This record gives sequence, structure tokens and C-alpha cells, in this order.
Amino acid sequence: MSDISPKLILNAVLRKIWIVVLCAIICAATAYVYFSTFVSPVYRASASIIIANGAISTDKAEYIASTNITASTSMLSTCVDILKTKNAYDFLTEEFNNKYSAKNYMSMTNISIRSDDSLFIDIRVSNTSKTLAIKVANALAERAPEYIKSFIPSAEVTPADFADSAVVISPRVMLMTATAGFVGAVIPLVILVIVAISDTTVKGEDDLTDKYNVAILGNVPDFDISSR
Amino acid sequence: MKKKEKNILSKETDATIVPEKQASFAIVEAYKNIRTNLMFLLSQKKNKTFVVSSALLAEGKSSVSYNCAVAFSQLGHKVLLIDADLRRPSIHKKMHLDNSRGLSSALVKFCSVEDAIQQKNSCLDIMTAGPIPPNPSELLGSEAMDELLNELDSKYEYIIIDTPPIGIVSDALIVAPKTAGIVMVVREGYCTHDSIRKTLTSIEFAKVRLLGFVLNCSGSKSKTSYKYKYGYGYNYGYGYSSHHITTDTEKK
Repeated sequence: MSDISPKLILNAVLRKIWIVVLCAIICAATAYVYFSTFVSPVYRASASIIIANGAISTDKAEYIASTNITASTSMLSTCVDILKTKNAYDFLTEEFNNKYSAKNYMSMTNISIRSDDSLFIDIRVSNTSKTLAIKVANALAERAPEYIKSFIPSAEVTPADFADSAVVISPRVMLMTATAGFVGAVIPLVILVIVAISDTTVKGEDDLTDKYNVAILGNVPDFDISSR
Repeated sequence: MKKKEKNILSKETDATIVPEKQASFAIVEAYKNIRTNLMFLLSQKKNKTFVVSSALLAEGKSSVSYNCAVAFSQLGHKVLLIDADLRRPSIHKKMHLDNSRGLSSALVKFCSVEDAIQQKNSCLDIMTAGPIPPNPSELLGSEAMDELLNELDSKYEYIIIDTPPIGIVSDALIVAPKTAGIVMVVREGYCTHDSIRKTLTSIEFAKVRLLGFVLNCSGSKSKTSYKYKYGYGYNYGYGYSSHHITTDTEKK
């Protein structure tokens, strides 16, 4: 290991840098083709509902006490849990002609509170079918008020936002391409460094003069080099 | 080795530097440089005999020995090249010489010293290894070898002894104390630092003088190749004319 200096390693790697570049390009190109052609995109549609306790009514112009808001926000977690029960998805099986089971719909859905002090619950549905994702999200948003009320009669649940489009969440082709290119560059680079470190042969005149206090009488070029 | 070493002798038996192509200029200049450095090193020494060896096999010792002998003979010096690699002799193969008599024969008195020497031209003689003996180390370390070298020393200005690699056998270290020192051939991209260190340790232990390294099969741009590229080469009058440089020059 002491025979190798960082400068020699760097020179050895730079001499073969074309391998690193080539591997990076091949890996990036392969990833791009694969993810853009062979991997089905996954879409995500989002709908949202707003939860309030009975003291807050959207159609009454009364003042809202902070205690009412606090009560509503504390109810949100319970409402999220209610929406995460399997029974909440049973109706979808029938509605969409048994395409998926209730469990499947449950696994493709993500229910969460928008933020700590928000009364909104977001319903996000992911599926390879853009249309289905939108329909499921909207169906859940429509059904949520009735379902939650069956558990908490005092809850006021209103659909706040329906999905009208779905975004592609996967695959992220450019990210995958960049990652593949990076990995394709790093792996041969590491291999080259290992090969350079393990190469303890004499690299040239400077290598000899740096290590040994012996005169260099002459430097006979390689026949191939001298032929150029 | 990627390619066989190019030697600077022509295919004819004449020991001349014949520029077959422009490519040989760099190699020719390299050997001239080695010759000059060795001449300086040995200038103060009475004994102008030196050993050529290496750490490992196939580093180009024989080619370097051989080409150095030619380079010295180019100046009109009377030179003898001895192939003392009694285990794997190669000089006779390179030179297409008869090996039925050589160093081993002369050491055991199977033939005279004169009969063991083959003349290449008026300045360069070659003593091949001869038949491979069962006891090469003993022969090289014998009194007969001392006597032989003493006898030859009076006849030749320079004696170059090609020996087996020090990292494999110790023959070179047996012969070297009788000479001015060792020239160690190191092949770039082949010889390891570990083997060089072991060889240097052996040389130091044997109390033999190391004259220097000759870096063989170098791939880096040397000053010689820069000169070649930038017009100091063959086409600009510093090379060789169509007339061969003969070795029929007067001895210095």
C-alpha cells in the first residue's frame, strides 16, 4: 500500500476514465429505456374532506369558539382511523365491479391529516390506472361523511375537494436515470481505484527515483511507443 | 511482454545500428544514453566489467546486455558480451550463434577461451553460455571463473555479463563481486516494488555495487521521444545516413 501514492492512483484512474464514462452512459441509458418503456406509471389522485364537531357549522354565521376548533382537531385522528378500517372500502368492491378487493383498495389509499392544526383530511389513492385512482378518491370522499357519522354522529364531515386529475408518482424516470448513471460511474471507479491500489508494479522513471536512491542509467522506450 | 524487444542490430551479421524505420531512433538513443552513463561510471575503474541482471524473469536483461554491447562497440571499444545465464541461455538464440561451446565449456576446460568466443565483428565478441551444466552456481563462483575474467580483462575494454535474475537465483551475486558492479534492468508495468526491494537487499547483503537501473519497456514520454517528435530525429540530420556506421573505427 505504501508503494502507491494518491497521485499515481489518480493518474491510473484518469487513464481509464473512459471506462467510467462509458459505464455511466450505458447504465443511464438502460435505466431510461427501462423505466420509460417497461415500467407502468403509477398515478395518484387526491381528494379531501373537512371535519368539524357539531358546534361548528359552515352554514351558520356564528362565532366559533377556539374550544370548538380544538375539539374538532382532536377528533381528526379518530376520523382518520375510522377511514382506515376495512369496512370503509367494502362498497368500492361492488361499485367498481369486483376489480379489486376491499383490502386492495385499502392498500392503495393513504389517509392523513393535512397538518397539525388543520381540519382537513386528505385522501390519496395510487393506482396504475389514472381513471380508477380519480374515481376511487372521489368515491371515498363522497362516502366518508356518511361512514364517519355512523361512528361519530356529532361529526360534521363535508367533502372539500374532489380529484379531477392524477399525477404520476412513479417511476421518476429522470431520477432513476440519474441514479443509474451515478451508480454506473461509481462502481467502475471503485474497481479502478482498487486495481490501481493493488498494482504495485513500477510505473515509470519517476516512480523509481522517488522510491530508490539509485541512478537511472537509461530509459528504453517500449517498442510500440517508439514506433509512433 | 507485449512485443518482442527490438534490438538495434540488423539482421545481417554486421554489428551496426541500422535504422530500419524512424521508430528505432528512440531506442537507439536510449542505449547510447545508457552507454554514456556507464562510461562515466566506469571511467575511474580499472575493471570495466559489469553484470546485467534483474529482479524477475523476462524483464529484458539479455536484450539490454546485447544492445549495450553493440552500443559500446559502436565507439570502437573492444567489447565482449558473456552470456552467464547458464540455466536459460538466450544470447545465442538472439544472435543465431552456435552454442556448442561457450562459457561453461571454457570453465571446465573442455575448450580454450578463444574457442569459446565467437567474433561478431572487429569490436564485438560474444561468448555464449555453452552447454547447460548441472552446477551453474558452482561454476560461476569457481576459481576458473576468476581466471577467465582476469584473462579476458586484459583483452577487452568492456566486458558485459548477462546473468539470471537475482530474484530467482543468486548467480548474478556470485559473479558480480568480481566485476565493477551490477546494472539492474527494471521493466515498467511488470516488475513490482516488492521484488525490487528484495533484490536490492540481496545486492546490499552481497556487498556488490549497484551501478544503476535501466528502465525497460518505458511507456512514458521521455526526452528522447520529445526530441524525435520535435525534429531532432532521423529526418533532421541527427539520425543516420544511408551509409551504415561501421565499427571499423580506430580504437580509442
